[in-house]
Amino acid sequence: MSARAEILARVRSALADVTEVPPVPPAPRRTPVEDVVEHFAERVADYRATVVRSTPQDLASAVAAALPDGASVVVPADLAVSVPGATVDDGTLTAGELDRIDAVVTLAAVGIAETGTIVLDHGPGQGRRAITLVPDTHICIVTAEQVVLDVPDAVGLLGPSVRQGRPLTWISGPSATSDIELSRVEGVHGPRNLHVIIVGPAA
Amino acid sequence: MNPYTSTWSGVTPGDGPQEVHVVLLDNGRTRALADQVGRQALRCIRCSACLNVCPVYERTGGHAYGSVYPGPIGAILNPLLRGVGHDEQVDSLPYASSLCGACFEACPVRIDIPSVLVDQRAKVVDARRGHRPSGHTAEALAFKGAAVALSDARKLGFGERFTRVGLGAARRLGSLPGLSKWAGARDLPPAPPESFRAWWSRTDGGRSEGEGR
Ligand code: SF4
Repeated sequence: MSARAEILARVRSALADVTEVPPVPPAPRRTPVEDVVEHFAERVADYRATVVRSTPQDLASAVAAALPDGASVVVPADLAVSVPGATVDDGTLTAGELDRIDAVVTLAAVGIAETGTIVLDHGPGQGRRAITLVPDTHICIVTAEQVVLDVPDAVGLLGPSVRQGRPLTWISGPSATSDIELSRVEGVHGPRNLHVIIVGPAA
Repeated sequence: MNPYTSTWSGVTPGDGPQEVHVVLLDNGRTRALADQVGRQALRCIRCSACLNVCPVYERTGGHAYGSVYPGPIGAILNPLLRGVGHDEQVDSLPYASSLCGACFEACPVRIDIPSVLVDQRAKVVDARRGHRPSGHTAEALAFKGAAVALSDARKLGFGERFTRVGLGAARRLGSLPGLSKWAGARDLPPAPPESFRAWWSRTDGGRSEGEGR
């Protein structure tokens, strides 16, 4: 018997007495808010991320303004926003090479207002995981229509990506951890600077 | 939320490792899963709320549990994962509780820790039946004695005649032999003038109460 068959058989025999699977109760829902996009902007800013609003027309200049002076930038090959002077990722940049690049500009898949979370499913305009994790500044473009109220809404939208076998990256503010001796260390799992541009009709 | 959370649903061409091996470690989980009362412990999210409210954990600290899972959840999870009847420390864990229920109240996923504790105590007792004498022997002997006396009315009546003598002697001695740790910090009650059963038969169940004695 393979190790896999063996452990699964043990799980099944441990559950032999369970004949009826109890129904999964629906996820609790928070009460709707008046302005979901504004709620999202506030929650993301709470994480010490920079949040700006832009119209589709002004997006390129909003990106340029977000980039530190003289910063080197990498972008996914299919990013529809023009970023002058950016290195276009062809999938061959190593982690070491990415570490020498200051910033990355990508789109996102979903924004979650309640938790201030951005989810990348690494589909169009979002690049592979490495380019979004190694450079120290992430400029992430989220459209107003991508923002949903809460986590269960996002999970519903992300189902197809997961079924296609795509990885997901959930980002709630700049990378930081207090796991070791409760002292805060930034930039362990991802960029230390998160800059979010919310694109929508002028507010 | 955790700042960075990644999920994978397999290998993605051109993104990340191109070969992934997943190692499933049982480590006693299926043993816990097979326990009809205890399997609920597997839904623990390790939030530590039960530890923070536990009066026993507050005094003993984490090392006393001999495991990475301390506190009330550790007191049920360790015997569930490792099984009882092999290790003194594991077998002692279900008893590390006053059954006050604070853990159950604090638990966000409603694990009924007190019920599992009681069930695990029963499993420890069952596993130790017929074992060589151990730390639990005095208690086991006391309960054996109680079972003999309480299962027969005549035996109980006979025993009750010695309550006054026994308690009186123990009070004068100041401690009970073998129970000094427990009795040293507690006052023994004075023996009542007569037992309930003696009172019942004397007064016809209270109907002739007060008619002289
Ligand atoms: S309170 Fe419940 S979920 Fe939290 S650590 Fe204790 S048993 Fe686990």
